[in-house]
Amino acid sequence: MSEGIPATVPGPMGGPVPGRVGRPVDGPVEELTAAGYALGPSRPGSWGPATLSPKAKLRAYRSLARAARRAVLTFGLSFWLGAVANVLLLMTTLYLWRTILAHATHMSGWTWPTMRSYLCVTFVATNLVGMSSDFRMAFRILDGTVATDLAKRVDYQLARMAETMGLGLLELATGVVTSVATVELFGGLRLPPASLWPAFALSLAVVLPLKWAITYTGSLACFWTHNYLGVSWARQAIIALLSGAMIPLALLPFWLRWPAEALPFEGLASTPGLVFAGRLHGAALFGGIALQYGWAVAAFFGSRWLWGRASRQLTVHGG
Amino acid sequence: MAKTANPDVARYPATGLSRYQSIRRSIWLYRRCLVAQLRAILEYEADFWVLIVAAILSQCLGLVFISAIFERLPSIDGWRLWDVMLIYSMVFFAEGVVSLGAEGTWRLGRWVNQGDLDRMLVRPFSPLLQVMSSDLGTNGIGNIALGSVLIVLSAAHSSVHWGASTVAAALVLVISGITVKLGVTLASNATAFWLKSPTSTVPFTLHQLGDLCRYPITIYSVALRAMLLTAIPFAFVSFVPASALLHHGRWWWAGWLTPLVGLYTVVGGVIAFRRGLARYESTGN
Repeated sequence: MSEGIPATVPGPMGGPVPGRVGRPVDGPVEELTAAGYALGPSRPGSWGPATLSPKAKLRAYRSLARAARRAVLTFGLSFWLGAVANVLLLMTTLYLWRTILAHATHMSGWTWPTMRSYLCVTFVATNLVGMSSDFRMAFRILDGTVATDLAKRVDYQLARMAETMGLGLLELATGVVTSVATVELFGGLRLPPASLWPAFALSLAVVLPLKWAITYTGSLACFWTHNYLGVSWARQAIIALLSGAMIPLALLPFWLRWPAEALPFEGLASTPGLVFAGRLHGAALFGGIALQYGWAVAAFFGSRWLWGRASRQLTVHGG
Repeated sequence: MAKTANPDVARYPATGLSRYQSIRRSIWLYRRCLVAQLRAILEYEADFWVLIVAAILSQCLGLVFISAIFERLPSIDGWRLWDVMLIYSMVFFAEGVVSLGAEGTWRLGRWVNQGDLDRMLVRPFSPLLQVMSSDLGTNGIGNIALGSVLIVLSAAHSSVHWGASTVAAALVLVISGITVKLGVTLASNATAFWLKSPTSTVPFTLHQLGDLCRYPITIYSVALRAMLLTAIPFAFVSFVPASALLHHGRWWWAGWLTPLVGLYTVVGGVIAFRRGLARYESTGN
């Protein structure tokens, strides 16, 4: 590239996309690809990357979210059968608790109607950030796609977050429909009073980013191990028990209760479940929700730091 | 795209071996393939141990859940803690053996979708055994270890008098439960020949039904029980054999049907695989 001739790169729709280093690229970057590439050129004679304006970055993340949603819906059978698998697990848990609560007398005040409401919400929360998002993030590292991701002008972590959020509403809608329909077969759902709905909405809203951050952190293990299946199993098993998805944390043995309360997993299912079932009030309610948001922020920045360490393990074999 | 001919032609070329010698040779090759898979897996030792530890961890957390339940009540539908542990242990053990010996069946969907079965069909070795031995689930080692320990502990805590005949009966029931699990795994993964999806989502969802049989099936509705005893007989992997061993319930004697059900599911799985293979179409490799 000779001096004086602007170093331009053809945009995805053809034709040059002018711009300079230091000046945010705007407008012409309209045609962002679904993969998040924003092709803005450097100053003349240089291949240094241009920065993207916040508006352009937002467009990139929205494109990624849209692409992830389309990819999952293209293979709709996998998505729906994943929902069926979740329903089977919910049914097993409901049958079990119906039998237990019919005979048990010391269950810390838990009754069958409140347990139904609790399990409905915990399984809606469990349906978020399903295995497709989980393995998609891991396989990017395992198959080397992460090497090309490093060349993109979008933040790797935020890009993965955008993809997961793109599916979030779909997973939430699927989870609500399937869980409520299943619970209806077992006697119906007892709704909380209107005063608790804002708190419940706040509590449920943070489950998706919190679960994403924890799953994303787990996927970084692929920088050290070639097989993600074991890591995924271990993470799912730990979350299933310590999030309170299958059993309220108050009913766990005492030696498990304190780690369950100390770790971020209770914010994934137990807290919104308890709010919906009307078992959290006053200071405990506000404290539980504040802890969820606190853990979400900590997990986001913690995984960001871990990414910085993990990506140093990356070996690119050319190509 | 060429349709495959009779798969028997590919499986039994003119080697001059008698049927008995062919069967012995197939078993020997199957074992060699599994050992080759194990050697390949052991090249990544960290992954090997991660999978084993993860399998044990996930199963242990399930046991913690059931223990937490039994801390608060003495029995579920007449089943005490160690009775339910026996059911759990039989599930673990069966899953472990099938993971070790037939993990490759989970790849069938991808191979059918991409036409990769061609290279198996041209080899003088059973395509079914090749598919089964094309992968080895090292998580099976963890499941077998944990399942064995739990079976022994559950047996020690049960009211059964363990003599030679009872131990022999237990062995027959455990092996029969494993064959039921193997047969259902084969049959469910053989659906890949009809669905042609690259993922194993349908067999995976059917496999999830097996989780229902970690608990006494008497807690479920009649329809669900009927399905688990007949259409998809996962109940014969764990619950029914455990009932027979412990003489639990009115229908405990039905546990002695487990060997027949095991034979039925394995034969059914093999027939489903062969029928599917007969309609397999290559993608022109």
